[in-house]
Amino acid sequence: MQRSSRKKSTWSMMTALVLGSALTLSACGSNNDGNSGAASPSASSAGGSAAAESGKLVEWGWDKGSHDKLMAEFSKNHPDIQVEYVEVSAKDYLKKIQTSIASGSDLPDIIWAEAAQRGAIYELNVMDDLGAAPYSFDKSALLDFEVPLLTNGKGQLVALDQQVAPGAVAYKRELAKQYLGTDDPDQLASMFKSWDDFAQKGKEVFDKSGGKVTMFASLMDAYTILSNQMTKPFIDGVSVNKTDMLGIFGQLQKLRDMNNEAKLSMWSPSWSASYSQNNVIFYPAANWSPEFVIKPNDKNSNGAWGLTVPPGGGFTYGGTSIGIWKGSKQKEAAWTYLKGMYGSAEGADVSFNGMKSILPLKSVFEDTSKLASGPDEFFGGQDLNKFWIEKVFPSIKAKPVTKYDQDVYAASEIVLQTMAQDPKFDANSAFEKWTEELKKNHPELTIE
Amino acid sequence: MMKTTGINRTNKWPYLFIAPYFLFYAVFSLFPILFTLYLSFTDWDLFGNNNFVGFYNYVQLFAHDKFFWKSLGNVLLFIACYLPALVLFGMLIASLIESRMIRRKTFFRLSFFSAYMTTPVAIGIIFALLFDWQGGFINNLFVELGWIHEKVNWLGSAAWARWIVILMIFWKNLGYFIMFYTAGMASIDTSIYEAAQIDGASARSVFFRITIPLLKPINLFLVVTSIIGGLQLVEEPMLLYSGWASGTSMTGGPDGSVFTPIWYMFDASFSGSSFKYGKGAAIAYSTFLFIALFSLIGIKWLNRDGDSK
Repeated sequence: MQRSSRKKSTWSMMTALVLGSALTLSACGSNNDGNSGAASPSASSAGGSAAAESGKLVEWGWDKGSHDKLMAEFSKNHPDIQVEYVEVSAKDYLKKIQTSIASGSDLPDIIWAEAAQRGAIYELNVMDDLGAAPYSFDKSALLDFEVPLLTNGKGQLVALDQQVAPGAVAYKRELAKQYLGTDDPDQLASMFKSWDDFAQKGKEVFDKSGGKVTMFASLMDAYTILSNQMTKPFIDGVSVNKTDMLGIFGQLQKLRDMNNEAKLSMWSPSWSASYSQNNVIFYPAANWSPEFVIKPNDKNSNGAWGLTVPPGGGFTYGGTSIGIWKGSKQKEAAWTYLKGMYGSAEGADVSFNGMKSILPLKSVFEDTSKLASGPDEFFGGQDLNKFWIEKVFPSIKAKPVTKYDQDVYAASEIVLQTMAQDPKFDANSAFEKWTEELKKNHPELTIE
Repeated sequence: MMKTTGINRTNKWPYLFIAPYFLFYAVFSLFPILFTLYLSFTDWDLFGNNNFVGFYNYVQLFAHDKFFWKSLGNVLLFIACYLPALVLFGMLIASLIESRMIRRKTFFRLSFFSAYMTTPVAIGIIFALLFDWQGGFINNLFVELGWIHEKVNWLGSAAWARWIVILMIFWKNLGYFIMFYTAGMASIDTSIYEAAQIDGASARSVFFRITIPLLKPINLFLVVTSIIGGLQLVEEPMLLYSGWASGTSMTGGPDGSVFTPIWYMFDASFSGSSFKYGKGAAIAYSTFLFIALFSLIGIKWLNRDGDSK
């Protein structure tokens, strides 16, 4: 009897150990859909202005250099708001958010969202509605084209943009002069009334150079411009935007058939190396491209580059939006930080003084004279900020973001690789393959 | 006769000593395994769905998902190509290394084995750089030598992509096979070879009638573990097409030619923005079933003589 009870207690002890550990660990992963940790705005706003001016926020981001410069400016006005900045690569950002939600871990107070991942992060329902209390941000303060880039599927504004991210094309002045007859940005812009004009000129350039010079480095370069010039989303609800996508693939097919691209892979080492070689005239470029792409890839040139507007006009290219986690325990401080960096006149000064970046607020554009960046020798004396403000903003376009955007980009990469190498692969085949790729993990999608 | 019953006063200590292992096993292996099985019966994603859907994910996979069958077909094709080659070349090179013709045996063993020690990430990136279309070493070399006039898009062609993956796995694993065969050959009693020599057996007969039959346990181990590893293949093709080296990522390679079941699991659950954990779990369990099936076939096939006797 005694022996049996001892045996039982040993078994019970071991079972309890196993179950206890299993439950402790599994509790980390239980019952969290991204909302369960949400603190109610009213509860968190109880602290009043003291809570708004002090706190230690956690922020995940991938550009510490810029963060530090902005933080130095911001801290002058808000010395008691501190930020624990955690570096997470842009490529892994969505995965880190995703695994944190699935495992029930805390998200940072301040969440970043890269262009292609925005839609997915917004739909995960982890970011607070900035239009609602306690934030009550008036979205009419933003430039009109910005609103769809910051809005989730429910129509809530859930983030603010770090800066405007206008897109155009960068070009090599020497090649433009040699093959297109001018290196003047305005003359180049007026030379191409349509993409068909552009493709035709590209064919002439290719023939004239004996096949050495092309307009673009890859089809993906052209896709970057064309897809960002769309004004309707790739997918509306679950309905694929067939008309626009077929139009884009048709245009890309023309560019390929008329030898407008050098068959490089965008962002590959050979693509990067092409910046310092004289074989490609145009590259898609945003306002961040000179600093992060063009100058690093063509260090030794000076005055060799220019910026002009592509056929179809300006577009938004890349950029990072930033929002507040629903579960943040320091929403007032988070809002002081977000607004003081990106959502107010104060933020406009912080951004411009810290990074020379321009916020997409209407008030900022009331007097653009102070936004000029001065002549840039690398770009043949062009004032880059003046170019973006005067030449690109009037025609800039943007489309609503969707949770499918990242997968759309991946499917397009696959399709355009095939299109680049197979001359028989036409726009219809491209669209068919593109939808097949998308439906692999999104079987709910329908074709109009 | 003493009846052995469960835990008692005298034998409880061994149980307690091995308990930590089982504790960790229960928490870090058993629980995830069972939880994954449960997940495979749900439609859990991070967009608010988390419903029990029974066998729906499995029905979709087996009856309607050509990507799953293609990924499975790809890995079986890879195994069918590289496994016989590994066995053949592994044995031949091992017997060469073990022969009297070769002096510095350790040098050769290490040379072949070093590829196996290389991380799959590095292998994926090295091969991506080697076979890059415009800037790759292979194309530049072939053009310089005049063997080709136009650069070949190795990684853009479905057929070439498969051969490159097969080559990667073969190159990586050859040293591993050689290592096992040389160890196996060294353990065969030399008196058997001496007896064969005295009886006048040719080198060919010795190889086919003594060496190969005595290496059967090693072959069984290598074949079965290669089938398991082959069906779980993911890092090499994924890295080849991740875009780390080539810039542009391409899930599954051209036409899905190097897509593998585990890559599909990763793609459905973690990559991109579908977050389909239920589907990913079903792919993981389905792959496990096929691993069990093909491993069993491999064991039966290699043991066929033993069974008949």
